[in-house]
Amino acid sequence: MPASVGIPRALLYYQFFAFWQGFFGALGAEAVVSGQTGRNILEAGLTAAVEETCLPVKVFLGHLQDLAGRGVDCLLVPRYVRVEKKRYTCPKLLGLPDMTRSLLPGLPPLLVPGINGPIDEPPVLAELERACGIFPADRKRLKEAYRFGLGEYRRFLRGRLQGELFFTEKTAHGNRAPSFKVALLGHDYNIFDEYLSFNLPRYLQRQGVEIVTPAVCGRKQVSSGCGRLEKDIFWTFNRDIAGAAFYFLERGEVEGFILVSSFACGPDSIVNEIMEREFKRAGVPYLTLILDEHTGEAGLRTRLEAFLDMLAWRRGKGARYFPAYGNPVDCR
Amino acid sequence: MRVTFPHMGTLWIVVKTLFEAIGQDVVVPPPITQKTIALGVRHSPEMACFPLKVNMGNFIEGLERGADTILMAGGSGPCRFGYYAQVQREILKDLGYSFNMIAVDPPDGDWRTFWARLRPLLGGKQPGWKEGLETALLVWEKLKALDDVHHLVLETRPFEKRSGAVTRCHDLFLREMAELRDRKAVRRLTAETRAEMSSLREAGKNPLRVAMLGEIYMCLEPAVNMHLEKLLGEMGVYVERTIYLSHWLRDHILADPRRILARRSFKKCASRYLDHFVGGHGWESVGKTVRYAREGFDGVVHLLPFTCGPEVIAQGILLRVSRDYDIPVLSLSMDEHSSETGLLTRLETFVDMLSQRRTGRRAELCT
Repeated sequence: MPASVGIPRALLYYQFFAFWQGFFGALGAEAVVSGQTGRNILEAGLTAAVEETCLPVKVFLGHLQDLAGRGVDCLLVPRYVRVEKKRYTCPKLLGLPDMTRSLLPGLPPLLVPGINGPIDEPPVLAELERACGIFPADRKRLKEAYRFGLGEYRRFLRGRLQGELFFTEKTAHGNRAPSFKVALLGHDYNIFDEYLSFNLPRYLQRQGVEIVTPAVCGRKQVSSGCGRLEKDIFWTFNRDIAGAAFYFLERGEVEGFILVSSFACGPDSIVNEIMEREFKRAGVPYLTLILDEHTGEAGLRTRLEAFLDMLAWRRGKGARYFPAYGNPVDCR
Repeated sequence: MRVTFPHMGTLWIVVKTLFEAIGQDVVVPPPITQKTIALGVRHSPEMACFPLKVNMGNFIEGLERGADTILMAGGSGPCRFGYYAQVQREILKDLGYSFNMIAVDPPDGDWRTFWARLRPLLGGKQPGWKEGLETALLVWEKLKALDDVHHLVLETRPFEKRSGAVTRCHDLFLREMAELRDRKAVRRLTAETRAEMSSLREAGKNPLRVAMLGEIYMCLEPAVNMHLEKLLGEMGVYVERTIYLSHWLRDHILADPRRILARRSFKKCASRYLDHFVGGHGWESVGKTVRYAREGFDGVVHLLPFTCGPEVIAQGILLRVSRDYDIPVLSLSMDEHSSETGLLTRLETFVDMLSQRRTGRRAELCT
């Protein structure tokens, strides 16, 4: 029986890590999570991947190599097809295990459960039985482990709804009251990977910005936000992001939006365009940041500073348009 | 109501015929040129895939010529194409065009929604059964003729006596085909073209065989793949095209048993490398590469729009297929920045390499 399972700290780790850690822990295996993303991991991923793959998938391949270096017995690379009914994750996640096998042939054996629906529904248990055949556990034990994993996962979700995030820094705002409320929109694996996003959430908090993310929106809020679209979005995570964005927009509770995307992300390229147009029509400021392996911290910071300055001026001077020279104009 | 639609290879002939037969005004967008692409790129999201941008160019040129309705296909994911129409509509709206967008998803069982979406295109007219059937048969006949002749063109090109003769004959055939209105004339034109093609052909040589596969739009639209088939064909290479226009109709509307068998066979071929669909034509690309490698083809050209999710997955897997089956695979990722000279250089190198492999193999056999 494998004593340890490697879980890469990338992609949907940020959604389901609680489940997998609980599940494997209860099965009696050690769940080893790869280290924080860093230069070595990123470079290992870059070398292995096809050039035009998106940044998070490249990083994922790097994390797998990191785990292989730690001598784990097998690696968890689920095939997330759907995590809710009728909607998909994204094409790259559908083919991730196969691409991994082709690009990194020397890895320890892969555990590839196919997740084809909500994680708390019976087909997933059946699939886990199939995929985790190498664990000599009887059905009952497996079922218990699955239930335990689900419990952990639900606890994580509850906490997330209440605003507990990966990055929360208790003393974040220091003595100052938060100056702005800004919605930070993007995939969790981009925003919460401190290396990829240059610690964006914490940076914003230190600037005295209060952040809201799509994670605080439940299903109802997302659906109500998506009500303005003629056709429902068929990518789960992008729908969550867009739904939350429109929900925030309708409530008028945020002063600006920051969209974080990675270069070559297919769903983002389409859905972000629709969001940007809605923001523009509503006259609410937004900033789009596209991350890739060439992104430099200084460039990112400059743009963020400019954005925050602009928010402050908007509030102070009551104007909507700030030309590069001349006086602000209120073109409402 | 005047309808326009996006270009994709010879699709315009079929759509034009269909609308003219039911008495609907149709605006065929002008052929895709650098101007079309530049227009599309200017107004599309930077990171969107190339077909979306070219569609946008078609729509703008169509609307400028007086169209007020856009017919566009859709899908249910995970490929981006399924959401194209939504973004395109919003962009055109913000540009100030007034139009009606009819986005049709493939029926896949739900015929009621499918027809409800298409109904406005009839413009209130209710064609009788006989008329409807006659139209359907004419469209089908044309679609088949277009695909058959295209296949013939690919077969003849490496053997043509004078370079470019086959292409000229094909262009003439397409122009005439677009105007025909009854089935008999379609059959006659096809027969004439067949006869003419065989007169352009000379006997001899055993050409290199290359399979062209990948994303459907890049394969079907010569203006975006820079006439790849023609370039290769005129270097004396036989190009096997693996996707034809009629396949979509056969897959989604007619449920053609031959297509079902073909799909089953590529899935079986791919199973060692990729055992799940990834959207678009990614799965097909892997399965077909394995199949053509087994059939002894000399090489594979894999076409994809830059950053296409399904095909990038396939590209990663093809690296391994290529090693395992010892078949060269040239992945060409294209967008508005691709240049014809760059492509030509790569193709020439690829073809040189393929022919050297052939002679090399023969030499190995002799020793």
